[in-house]
Amino acid sequence: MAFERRSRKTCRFCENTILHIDYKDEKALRRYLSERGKIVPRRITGTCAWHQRKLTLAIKRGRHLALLPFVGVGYRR
Amino acid sequence: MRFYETTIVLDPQSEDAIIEREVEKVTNTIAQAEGQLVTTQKWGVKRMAYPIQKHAQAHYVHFVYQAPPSVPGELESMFRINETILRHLTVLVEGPLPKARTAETEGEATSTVSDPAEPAPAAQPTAAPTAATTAESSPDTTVAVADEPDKTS
Repeated sequence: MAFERRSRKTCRFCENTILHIDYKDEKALRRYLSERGKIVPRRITGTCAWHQRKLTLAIKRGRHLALLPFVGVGYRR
Repeated sequence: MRFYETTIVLDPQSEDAIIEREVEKVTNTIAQAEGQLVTTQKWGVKRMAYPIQKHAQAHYVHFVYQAPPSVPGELESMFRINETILRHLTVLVEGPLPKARTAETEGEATSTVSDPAEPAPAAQPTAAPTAATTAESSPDTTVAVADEPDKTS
């Protein structure tokens, strides 16, 4: 199990040649947030470094406008 | 002149007339600086991801415009003293000019709004059109990635 080979994940943005990640597209960005509202690391999503940087910026902009959560519902204090 | 996009988040309890007035203020500021408005979109009342000043919902208005660099600063100072505006964000437009966001405008992605003479700033010109078309399909294609965070958390 531990040494089981996984197929290599590829960057979804590269696959679709997306150059600009839109902060307004909350539906798409939500997939890159954990339930707690954290940005999912690229080691898990397979996003490339370049796109992860763009993604991070987009998510942060979305959060500012309250399109995306800083902390997921149910985890707030 | 550069392309900017500004989103403002307004108090949901304010009446339509007040929102209209705010929109007009922005439009006037842009016009006064000899900028050009590309699109104005009211997204209507949306549920926010977290409450701001105890409001759970808010009006969203989004502008795309071309203006001299003095304009964002002017707008900013205007927004800051305004209490009906809960949040605002101005950024440079990157890539193709944003298309109208009316729910699902899918299908006619590449035809951007007006002004074909000066397309988008700072975009890699060859790849940009393809990006616009494929961007539409992204919500579906990212599904597979979505369930992975759950496994870890």
